[in-house]
Amino acid sequence: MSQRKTATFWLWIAPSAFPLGLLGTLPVLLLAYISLTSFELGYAWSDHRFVGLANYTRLFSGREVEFWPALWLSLFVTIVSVALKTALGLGVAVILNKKLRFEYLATSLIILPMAVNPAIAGLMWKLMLSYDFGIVNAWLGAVGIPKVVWLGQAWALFSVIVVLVWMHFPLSALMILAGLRNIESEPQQAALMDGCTPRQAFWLIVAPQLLPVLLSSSVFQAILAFQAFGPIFTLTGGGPGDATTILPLYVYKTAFNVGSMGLAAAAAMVLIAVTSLLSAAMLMIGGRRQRS
Amino acid sequence: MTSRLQRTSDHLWLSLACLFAVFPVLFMLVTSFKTRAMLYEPTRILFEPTLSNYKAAIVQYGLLNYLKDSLIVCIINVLVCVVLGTITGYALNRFEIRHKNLITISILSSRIFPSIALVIPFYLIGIFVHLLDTYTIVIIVFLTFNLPFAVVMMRSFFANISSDTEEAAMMDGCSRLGALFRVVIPQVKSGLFATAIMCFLTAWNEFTYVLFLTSSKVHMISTAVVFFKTEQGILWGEVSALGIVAVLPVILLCFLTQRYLVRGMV
Repeated sequence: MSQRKTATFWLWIAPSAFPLGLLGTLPVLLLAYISLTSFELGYAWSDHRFVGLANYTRLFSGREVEFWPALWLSLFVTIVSVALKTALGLGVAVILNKKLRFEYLATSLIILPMAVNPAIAGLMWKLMLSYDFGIVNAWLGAVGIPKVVWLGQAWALFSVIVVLVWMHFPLSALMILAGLRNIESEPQQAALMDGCTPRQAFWLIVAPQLLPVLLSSSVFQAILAFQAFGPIFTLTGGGPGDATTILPLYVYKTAFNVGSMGLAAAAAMVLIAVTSLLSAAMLMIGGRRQRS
Repeated sequence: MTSRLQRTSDHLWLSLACLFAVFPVLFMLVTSFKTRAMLYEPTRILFEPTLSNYKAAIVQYGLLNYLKDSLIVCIINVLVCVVLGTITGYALNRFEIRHKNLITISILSSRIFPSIALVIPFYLIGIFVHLLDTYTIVIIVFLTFNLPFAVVMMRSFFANISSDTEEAAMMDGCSRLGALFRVVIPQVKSGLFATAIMCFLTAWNEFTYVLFLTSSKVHMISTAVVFFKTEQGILWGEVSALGIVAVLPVILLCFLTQRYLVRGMV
């Protein structure tokens, strides 16, 4: 009986499990293999040589001078943008949770960036930040501040972070809002009755309960930030120079501009390793939350 | 008194956040109605709007072609995802089986890999099987993120309805598959609809795979704007028109499914 049940179960699962198993494993295996070869774009596949871990040693030894800077830059962009997204998302969520009059409308407007194509999001900000046509410089001019080259060496990284925050803070807000609504309000009411100020009640009673939600939303945001490609591709293309070349852009440049597929594949494996670790962390946080 | 002050400041901060979220889209919308000369006055909002950018996007740059290809790819992909996702999501919820969580996690796992990493092997596979720059490869590759999503979404909707009715139907001689389609699916219609819309949204907005897997034969809207550079730099009027056409329909769809957004993202 139970064996027949298992068989029917797999029969039901198969139409999805088969393609997903294939799509989930085959490309990763192939990528892992490419990372062990000298394959170059533009050459026949049969020309590739197996080179063992040479690509990895080249990346990590620093002989490939762009790799470590790209990795550190990724880390920097991830940490700063996640902190800003979470702070902004928390602020918005706390206000939305107060049930103001225009709550539904406000939520609709706040989530708007989530529906925008990432590449077009990059273009929207490129337009806003444009030296001549940009409204940001026009506003600065109106209050007497000289124009800024937002996508130049000094400010490009800042602009990239702004775009990432814009794209993803609504998601933090929604996740944190859902967390806030799951917290019971009685302990907070009791604390207020006992003479706590609302601020004290928030930090002493609500915040600790919110911590797991903040943590999982931050990890999820870190995954998104670490693999961000589209918006940066259209906003700066990784430039000027390598000023905004985070790891995904390094992979892109190495694979499709330079053509060193093997090397790019090795860097892509690093990218996969980091995002997998972050996802595992998120699963663990989620699991603990369900148990408690 | 303090509470009124508090309320006012809440409204103020919330309005600022809304403005931050909406402004880039609004600015692009306004820019799309400007003539080239007016682009130098970014703060000007009172002007006679021109449709010339939209006309150029359609006539000169083949906007309708982009829309057609995007629609074909996205609709077929969504149909496949919804049908397979319903069947698998149903089985994952209803069957008593060991390691069900493990199975769910492995189904989800193909979703976590960054597209910029996977596009390298997909590009190669495309070369091997001669499918580069076709509808087929884009539709298949889009399954990597949309199918797991559909499965998990549908599973959560099935979890909300009791199994009494389908058991009754099966007693009356319906097969399980028949019961699913005749009795269960009508109960999760709105969930099915939401899943379809969100899959469509994700597919419509996917950029990385489209950028590297298509070129001259398949033209999709999400990469249309990228190739819009001429010697005079970026033609912001035309780019804005294209961008708005690509973005507005999905924004409207997004409003329809607002309630489901959080559930699907995590």
